[in-house]
Amino acid sequence: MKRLHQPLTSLIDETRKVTFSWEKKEFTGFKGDTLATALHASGVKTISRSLKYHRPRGLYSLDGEGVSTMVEVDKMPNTRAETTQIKNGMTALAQNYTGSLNFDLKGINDKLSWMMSAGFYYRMFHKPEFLWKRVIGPIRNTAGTGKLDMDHDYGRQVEERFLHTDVCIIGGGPAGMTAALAAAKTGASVILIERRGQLGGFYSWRTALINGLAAVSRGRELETQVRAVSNILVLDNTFAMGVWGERQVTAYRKGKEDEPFFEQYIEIMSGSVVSATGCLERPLVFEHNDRPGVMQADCAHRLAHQYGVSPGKRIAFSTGDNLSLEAAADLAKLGLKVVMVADSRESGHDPELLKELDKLNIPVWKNYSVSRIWGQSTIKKARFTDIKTGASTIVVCDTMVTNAGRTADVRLLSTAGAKVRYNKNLGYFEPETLPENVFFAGRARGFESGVNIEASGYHAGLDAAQALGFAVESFRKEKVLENEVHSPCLIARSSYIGKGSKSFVCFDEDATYKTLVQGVEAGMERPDLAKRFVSVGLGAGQSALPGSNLSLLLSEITGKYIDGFRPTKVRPPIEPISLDTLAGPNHAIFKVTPLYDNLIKTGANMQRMGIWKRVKYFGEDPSCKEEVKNVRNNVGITDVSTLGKFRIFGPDAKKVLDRIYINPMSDFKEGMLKYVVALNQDGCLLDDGVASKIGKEDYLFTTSTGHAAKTIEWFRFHSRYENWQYNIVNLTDQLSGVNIAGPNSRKVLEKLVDIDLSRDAFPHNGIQKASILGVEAWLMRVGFVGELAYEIHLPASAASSLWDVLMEAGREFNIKPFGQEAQFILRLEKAHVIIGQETEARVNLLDVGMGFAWAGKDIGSRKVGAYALEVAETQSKRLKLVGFTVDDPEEFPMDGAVIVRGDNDVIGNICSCRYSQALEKPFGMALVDESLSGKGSKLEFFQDGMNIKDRIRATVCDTPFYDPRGLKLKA
Amino acid sequence: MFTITCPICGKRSQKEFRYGNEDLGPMPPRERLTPELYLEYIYSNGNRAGVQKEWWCHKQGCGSWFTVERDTLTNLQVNTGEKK
Repeated sequence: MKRLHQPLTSLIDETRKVTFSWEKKEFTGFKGDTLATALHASGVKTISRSLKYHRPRGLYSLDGEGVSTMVEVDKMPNTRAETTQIKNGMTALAQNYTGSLNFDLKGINDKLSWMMSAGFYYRMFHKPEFLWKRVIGPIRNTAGTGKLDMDHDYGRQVEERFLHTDVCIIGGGPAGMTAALAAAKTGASVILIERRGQLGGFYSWRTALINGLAAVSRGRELETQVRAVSNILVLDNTFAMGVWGERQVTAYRKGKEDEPFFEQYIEIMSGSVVSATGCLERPLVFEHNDRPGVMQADCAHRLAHQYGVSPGKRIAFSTGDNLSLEAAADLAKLGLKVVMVADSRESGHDPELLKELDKLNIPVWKNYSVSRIWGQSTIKKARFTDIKTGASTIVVCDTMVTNAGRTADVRLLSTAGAKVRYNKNLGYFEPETLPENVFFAGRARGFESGVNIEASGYHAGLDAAQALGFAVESFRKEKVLENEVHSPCLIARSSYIGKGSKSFVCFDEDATYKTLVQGVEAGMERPDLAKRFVSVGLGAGQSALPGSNLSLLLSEITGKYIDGFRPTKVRPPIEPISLDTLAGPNHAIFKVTPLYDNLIKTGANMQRMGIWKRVKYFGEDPSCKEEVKNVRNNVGITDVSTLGKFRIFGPDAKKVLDRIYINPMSDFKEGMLKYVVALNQDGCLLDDGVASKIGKEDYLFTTSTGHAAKTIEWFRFHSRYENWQYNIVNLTDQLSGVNIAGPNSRKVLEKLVDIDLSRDAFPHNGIQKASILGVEAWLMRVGFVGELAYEIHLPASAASSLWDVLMEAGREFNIKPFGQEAQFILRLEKAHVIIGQETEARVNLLDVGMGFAWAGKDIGSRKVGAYALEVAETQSKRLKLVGFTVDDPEEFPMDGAVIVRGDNDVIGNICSCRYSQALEKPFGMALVDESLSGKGSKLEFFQDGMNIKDRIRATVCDTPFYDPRGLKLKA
Repeated sequence: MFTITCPICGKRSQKEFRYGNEDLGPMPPRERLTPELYLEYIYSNGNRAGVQKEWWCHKQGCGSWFTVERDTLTNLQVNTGEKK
């Protein structure tokens, strides 16, 4: 269809055709069109079906507030047709119908609506319980929410952006722009947020004169000024979601075609906030007010002026404000047929506009409003009723432009904590008080003239800067506010709608005037109760459209004073945001040790473990038989760089260690390591490692890989009340570590260091400083895998060379690397506990049989977890850690398999289970009820995939499984 | 979402901090501890509606623990914290 010619206000480029598909048919529009405008221009009026009654719905506001325009675009459900620009090749589908969009089989619900009263689902299926389970599926299917294609790669790039600014202004209309210019003038940094693609607000589609200049031109003039100022950052296409404590603003921005992201999450910390969000049109409630062809005045105005699309062939108005009169005149001036204008106000009409309408031969019916329309997917006729007398007239039309006047958009202020009340002079809900450093400007304050709106923004911008200490006085006198006469529209509905069973208060949830009345009869007369019971504003539109009407209608139905009712509290996000944008980009950040290249060259299979990528195993065999055998019989080498390494020093360092570790701290021996265990307040295991005194008031200690990052925070937390003098340094990334383990490890290391490595000079649990490759290194004789072993910690930059040198030195012994899985098996044969594998949140030090580490009853040092151990010591029926071997070597239970007694009792679970080459059968450790923890007890395992009656049997045995006397370890 | 003022680094988004519970003072001495008192100290919160003194750790900043007084109804900080 040919577009109307609109050189001044047009947003479309008629020289650039865009082809897209809708419901599998091809359509064309122009660059700049939204999906909704392009479809409307092509004669498609119905673009969705409503949630409950499956009524046809079409475009309404062009800002996408409600679900009525939610469609599936390129497989993405719930995309707003009104705010989605068309692109070549775009595929769009309607949602929520069975059969076809124009003949929805579920439309039967509309006919059955008489049986679905307010709270229908709550009451009808409340009891008996089984009924709800039966009906919930079909009900969910009937309700339209769109479907994600789980197999489709949506390929959406999201970003995050964190900004700081002095003044954050929300709303890029005339007030927002003048506020930005004013604040920027004082030297403040400014961020201006605008949801549409261009600044200008309600100036953008108007040609009325503001100070002798067409509004749209004035808007562009201001936009040019704003964009030229270097300390104003303009964020267009950006939706503010909420204002939080201390004026943090959250928003998201939709990427333009040339931007690398689909959506960008934005968080702004600002000194002051100016809300210049303008007004919303309050929907008029009348019978069948949801039919395609019913639209708001701005919608009709913008369709014609910005997109060159005729709203309809015979357009009737039932509105309540001067901007609508202007819209009616503008449409008529384009040659469109405006049948008549009903205005629900008695007075307050702009005399100039009345004169213009008169000249255009458009009758204006004061004190009238539409009470009902006829027609299904197109309007056929409408009934207009005199608000006072009830006299009715039928008018033939195909488009109904309606509103019940305007209301201030105070949703953002509400999220900021402003309490909202009704102002009868304006017919608006407005903030009673504003939070600190939050300001409020523009049309939402009740100004109608452009001059006043701009002045109000200007002063709010200055106020916002002044609150932050910027000098503003010299700029004050530039703009003044003029007096205005207000002419509010005070009604929310037509008085002649009968029961109002098809008079929709909330389009999202198909809540009608009738159900609202039923809600009140059921006692839900306060807005917050009625909202939930009747489902008004619970949908994706987040109360944008029905929010004000709900309070006004309730006040009318109950006859109680409007002042007593406040609108329901608006909570962020006031604009719906996709979950993937909130989740943020997935950068998959991980750390690798300095040995990464050496390991890869040796055939390592890397796996992400926590923040690190570590070696699971080398070569082809995930069961690591050769790796294990080589460590037991020869010598293996492994990367231990990820271990946490810390130095703590200072006069009170020992006191802190005494607080954190459950072990006694009185017995540090020179040149020796001490095994240390940290507990939480419950006495449960948190971490373990080794510690050594390396100087006066100077200690070195290690932590497990997983606990390294939290260590300093934990130390400081538990000494927060003490005025202790100590310093703690995280050396984890500075020092790398290599462990060589196996009977031949001494012979390998001897080739590299000139210190005495004999058993007497450097015994098990010894620590020595040595020079290796000319670099100072710590050598530790630790035995996690149960063999003669040395851990070498040295500066990270030397680690790669050390690995090569050790491999070379070990070549004559056939040294081989081993990974995490081999280490896991080796230590399991020694029954060495891994915290988090053999322990869980409720398992304490005594349960795992490590009571030897406990210093005993604690008087002075207040060790973390000590008191809990004291209490637990006398408790019975706790889980105990035991070793077991599986009776039938062919059966292999998995980690996590449960231990059962009889048919129903779960009395424990397997922590780790592996195959032991030494024992030639599967073995492992399990947490089990203490009654079954004695040697020889029979355990019965059950795991997923087994027949319900089957069990795997095992026997509790002594630990360690390998080298019980530690002769190899201490060799 | 709100802000916390770190005594060392200044006002930052609360996301940079770890909450360390209400300020309950140091743990009672061993002589006074009973299982009930211990449980109370470790797990019972006042859940005050109003101003409460609480611990925060600037985990993505300087790493220090400090107390602030925060109004739990408005999420606004009453004082600016003191270094511990």
